Amino acid sequence: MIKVSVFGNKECDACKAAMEKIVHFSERWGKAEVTSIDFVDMETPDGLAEGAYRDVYDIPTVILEDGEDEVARWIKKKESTDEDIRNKGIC
Amino acid sequence: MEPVKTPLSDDGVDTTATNDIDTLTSNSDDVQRLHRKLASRMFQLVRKRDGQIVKFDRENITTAIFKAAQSVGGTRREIAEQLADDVVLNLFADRGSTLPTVEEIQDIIEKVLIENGHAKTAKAFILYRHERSKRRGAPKTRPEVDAATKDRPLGIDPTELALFVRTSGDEIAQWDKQKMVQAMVREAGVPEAIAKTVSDEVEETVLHSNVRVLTVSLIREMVNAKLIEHGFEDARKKHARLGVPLYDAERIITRRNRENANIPHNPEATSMTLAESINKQYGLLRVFSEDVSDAHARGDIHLHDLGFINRPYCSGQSLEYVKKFGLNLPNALSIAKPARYPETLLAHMVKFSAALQGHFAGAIGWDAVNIFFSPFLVGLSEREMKQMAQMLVFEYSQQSVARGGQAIFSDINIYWEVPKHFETVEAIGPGGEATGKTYSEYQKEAQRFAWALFDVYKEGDGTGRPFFFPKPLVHITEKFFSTPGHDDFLNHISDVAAEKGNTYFVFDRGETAKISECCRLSFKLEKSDLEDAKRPWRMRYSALQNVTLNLPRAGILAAGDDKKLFSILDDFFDLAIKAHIQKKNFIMSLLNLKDSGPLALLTMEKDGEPYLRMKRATYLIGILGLNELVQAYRGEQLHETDDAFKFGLKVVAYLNLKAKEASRKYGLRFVLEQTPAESAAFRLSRLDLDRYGKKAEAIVKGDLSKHKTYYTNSTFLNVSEPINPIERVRLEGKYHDLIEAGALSHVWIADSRPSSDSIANFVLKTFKHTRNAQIAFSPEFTSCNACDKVARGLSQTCPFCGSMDVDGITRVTGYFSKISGWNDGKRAELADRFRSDI
Ligand SMILES: [Zn+2]
Repeated sequence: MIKVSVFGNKECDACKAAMEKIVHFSERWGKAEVTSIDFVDMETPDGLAEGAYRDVYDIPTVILEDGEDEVARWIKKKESTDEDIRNKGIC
Repeated sequence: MEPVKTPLSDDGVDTTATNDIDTLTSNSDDVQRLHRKLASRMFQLVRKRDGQIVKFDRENITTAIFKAAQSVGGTRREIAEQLADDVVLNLFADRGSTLPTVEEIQDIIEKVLIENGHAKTAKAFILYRHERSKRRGAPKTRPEVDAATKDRPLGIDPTELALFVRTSGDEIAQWDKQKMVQAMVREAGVPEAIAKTVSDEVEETVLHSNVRVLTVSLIREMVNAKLIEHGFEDARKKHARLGVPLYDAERIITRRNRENANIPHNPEATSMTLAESINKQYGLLRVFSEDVSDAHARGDIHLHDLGFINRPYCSGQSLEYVKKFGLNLPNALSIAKPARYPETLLAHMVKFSAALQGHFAGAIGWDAVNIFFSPFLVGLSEREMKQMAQMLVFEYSQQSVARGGQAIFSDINIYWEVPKHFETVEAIGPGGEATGKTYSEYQKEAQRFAWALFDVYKEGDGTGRPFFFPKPLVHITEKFFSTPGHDDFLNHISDVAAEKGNTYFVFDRGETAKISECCRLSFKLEKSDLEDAKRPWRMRYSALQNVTLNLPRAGILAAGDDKKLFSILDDFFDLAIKAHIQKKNFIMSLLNLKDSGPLALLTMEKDGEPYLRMKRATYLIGILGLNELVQAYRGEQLHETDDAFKFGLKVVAYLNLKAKEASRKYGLRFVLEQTPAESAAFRLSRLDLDRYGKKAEAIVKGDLSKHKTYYTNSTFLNVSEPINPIERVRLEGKYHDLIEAGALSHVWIADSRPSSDSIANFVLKTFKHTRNAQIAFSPEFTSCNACDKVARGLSQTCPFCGSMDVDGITRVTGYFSKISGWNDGKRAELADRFRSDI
């Protein structure tokens, strides 16, 4: 029973790629395993607030939860450019 | 020798002077001259019959005598002059220098004329007096009546002196209606015809009143009142006069300023406070538009440092600038070449800080001080190193000779590791020359200096009190943990935190370089900044202004309506942006004056760019009282429920995105700031209580019955709640990624004295398991003025000698100060603070 949240924004290609990957994996895991996949847009107040609450500081970040427990977190790491920083939800 | 007879007039009445010896002649001329000189200085004012005080003028006496003489055929004015001198000397002999009346003067004129044998002239004068006093019985209707008497042949004409005005230039000037007209036309663009009407009306009022002495400010206010009557409200504003009521001036001169705990009580501080009040009025009238000024007055927003309207807010810079260019300031009396010795460099740094303090309202921050000092410290013994550290700290903390007698609000940023962005930077050494090495190669000296600085902080000042300034900010980057000796250093600075509280722990997580400048403004270095880092003297940053939003008010006004809440926030936010742009334009107008302007220092171009790099400036949107916004809006405080906490995050996220949007729109860097809010937290709570009564009472903190209220600073959780400190730091830290400036959590350790280990552990936990950007531990002290000892904790009496003459010391917002200087709101907050051992 895994709930997946992908934190990103609409303009970021890496976020789109992450989302596609998650969808792809979840299909392989089967519906019983993955109950929901949410894309959290960090360019919206709700999304940004959710990210801050979950200590998400870089995008894309993928969080897998089993009920209340966070079971995994993947954070995209790369050298930030000016452009990236400007596009990020948090900078 | 025959006495020389000098006829005054052909009426046969002569006056004689005896000149027995030639030399005496010249001597007596000297005596005459001296007498005149003296006489003209003896009296400055005369009290008229109706009580008005007018300027004393010997010429008027001369004229009166001469006119009387002329009426009986006299022709020699110089005789009248001598007699006038005689009158003055007689007056002085009778009255000393007390104010003579017109009657008294006239009595003496008669006496002098008779005594000197000018009988006919005396008679003419007496008749004139009589005629005047008869005429005086009739009531005055218009000023023209007096004006009509101007050319009467005899006597002192009171209308020439009718009304006198004490000018702003310290002088008594004659009443001149035309001056009013000119001022209205020139300053406020009032049509001349209207200006004339207004001036007539004012004159009429003055003549019908019992005003004794007029001041220009009174006249101006009378004119302003008339302008309002005539519907010239805009003109009235332009014609306004700035100043302070006498009552306020007296309080400022005699009492301590509690707006800002960093302002001492001395004549310099008084002058600064008086000047601030004029600057403030100027800013609200001329720099900001009416809607912005009104919003400030109303309390929707708070414009910070209005008293320093003519300068930017705060400044962060690199020691490299001073190392490379020496001390060569515009309008300075001398120029210093780049330093060759560490002591000289230190002196340059402190002097430059003082100069900057005169050009910025807030903090003066220095980046990576120990790193940039390091090339000067090679080969220093332990003792010498300690000496340097001591000099640095004492120099800053004892700068009470600077602006307004204040210490320089200063930050020094310190690194144990050489941060990545400076690793390969070519070091500048003595004489401003490159040493041929990189900063990495000076890590040992940099570390020794950092260590020595904290030795000094740990000892405290001469009596063991903590140093208030400079505030040491230790940056902890990822590299810190791979740098040898970091454990020991962390322990050392934790020890200082436990003992004296000075250490600020700044967390620069991740691989992105960050810089923490003035006002705890920290931001990630973008590509262009990283380019600058290769030539660190270019790294100069400024926050131009700070405008705070009254969040609790938005919460009250929204009354539970989501849409309304965010629309009110929009309104406040837009006002803040508008205020920023107006202030920026004003500062630009001053900067554009270049060398001849007041901000010449900030326009100097030593490296091809002005000192103040406007392109890199930041504009702070302060947030205050998030806790009370949420409480007003949802009935729960941030710490009370998860939903309340999340809602708080949403509000800040919303503002964060708005700041980004505004940055894109205007091409200016707008960022959120945790408002230091020393006076704003108090002021805004008071304004809301006045306006919203019970709704505000429900949320303000502090002691309502004693009117000591406050709003919780920025995004802090309620300070009185017994929340476990690490939990507080973790929760508050969730806001920090959304707030680029000033994000900090306080741990109030008060009278407890945690071990350095437990502080170090706390710091590590915070770094690794939270998003908190910065923490500081705040102990409290009682410093005794009688026995000079310092005790931990706050008490009313000295625990050593029992004296009541003690100062409580702890952090007011982001810095240490004496509690006696705090405003009522901050004192109430202090009483509420939940203290904890960690
Ligand atoms: Zn004592």
